[in-house]
Amino acid sequence: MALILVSSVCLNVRSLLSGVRLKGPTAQIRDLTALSNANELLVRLGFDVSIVAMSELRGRFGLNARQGPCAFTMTAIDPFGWSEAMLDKLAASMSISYLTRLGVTGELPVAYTTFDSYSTFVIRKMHINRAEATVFALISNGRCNYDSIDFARLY
Amino acid sequence: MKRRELYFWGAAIAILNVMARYVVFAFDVYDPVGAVATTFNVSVIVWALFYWALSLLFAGTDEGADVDGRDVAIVAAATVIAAAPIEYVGWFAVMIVGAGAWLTAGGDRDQRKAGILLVSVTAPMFWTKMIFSVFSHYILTLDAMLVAALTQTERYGNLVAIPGGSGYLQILGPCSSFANISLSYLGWLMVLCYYDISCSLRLIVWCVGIILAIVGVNTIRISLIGFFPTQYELIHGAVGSTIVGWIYIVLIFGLAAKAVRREPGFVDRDQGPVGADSRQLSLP
Repeated sequence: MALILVSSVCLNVRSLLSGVRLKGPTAQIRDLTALSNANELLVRLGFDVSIVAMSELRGRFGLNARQGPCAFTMTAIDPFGWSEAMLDKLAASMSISYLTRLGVTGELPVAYTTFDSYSTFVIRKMHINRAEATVFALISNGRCNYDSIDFARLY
Repeated sequence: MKRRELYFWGAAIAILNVMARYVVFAFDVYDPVGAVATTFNVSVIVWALFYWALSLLFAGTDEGADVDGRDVAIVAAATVIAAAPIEYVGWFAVMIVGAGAWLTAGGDRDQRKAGILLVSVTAPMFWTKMIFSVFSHYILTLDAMLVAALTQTERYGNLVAIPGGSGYLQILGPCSSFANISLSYLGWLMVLCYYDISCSLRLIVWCVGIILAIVGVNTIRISLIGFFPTQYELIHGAVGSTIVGWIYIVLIFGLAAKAVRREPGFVDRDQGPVGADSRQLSLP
């Protein structure tokens, strides 16, 4: 039994250490990477894009995108719904939509995004390739048609 | 091999494998002194519980019933799960070996006690996190309501207006008062097990009281951030967390010990039976 104890702990620590060395980027870096991908997508579609600090959302950044009458701000948010109240305050009278793997929705599907976040975390820990479950908030002037943007490419 | 010895090894394998993650990650995040000082980001109550559960099983490894096929199957399953290199899955191993020790204990009180402790420790370390992630929206709203009641300011969702109108406090998961509820329950249970006291309605009421006290302390702490936003780092950072952590420990164990000492038939482990008069004197 002592041998099983020592060997299992050694294997586990070895796996953990390799995990530490290979561990993914922090949440902020992940969000920035996702925003960078979004920036690339929007620029390719002809949007005029600029980066904006979202200090109210725990120091996150966002993208201001504008094309014709459409203008929106896009930022990564917590998948657990912790940012909804702050987004409501930030948006004031503007329109809020959420972008997840399910597409663009008017409400944040918290149960789905929570499950997606945890399952993606576990799947990636098993060294299986799966895109991060980034959740974006889209705050717009209400004159945007998101159907014309292939957001699925971000996942 | 005796049953208790097998469960001792099973528990040791499950515990060391699951806690290895916390130790490795703490050393990755902090310097060695910081990692040890923060007890590897795990409550000292949990470390104490593990030490105690293993001590209970180890103390009588040459006593009791012999191992049977069911014990071997339980410990083997826990060992396989414990070795899985997936975070949090190891808590299932702790739970399985704990449940096994509990249910097969028969008349072995120490083994049963160790089993109950091992099953219970999965509440703050695993199940609470799962429940919180599902219901966090409602829990954080309740947190905000409590803080807003103290600060007497506007609340919106998990936002509470800072007194004076200089912005909003945003209450997030790790700050929730309710994150420590299961830790309170665990401390209360440890005291009951230590004094060999059976649970009663009165003790459950005390447990609820301890939980309310813990929620109250955290609510006051968050409210203080609202009243003194410039002291955010002090109140919310390492200093504030450490002070509040020790207040929790004193409250949990102090109140739980007080509760069991008032139970009829309480026997002080060190001083023998305590009568009505001396019980009064023995109160802290």
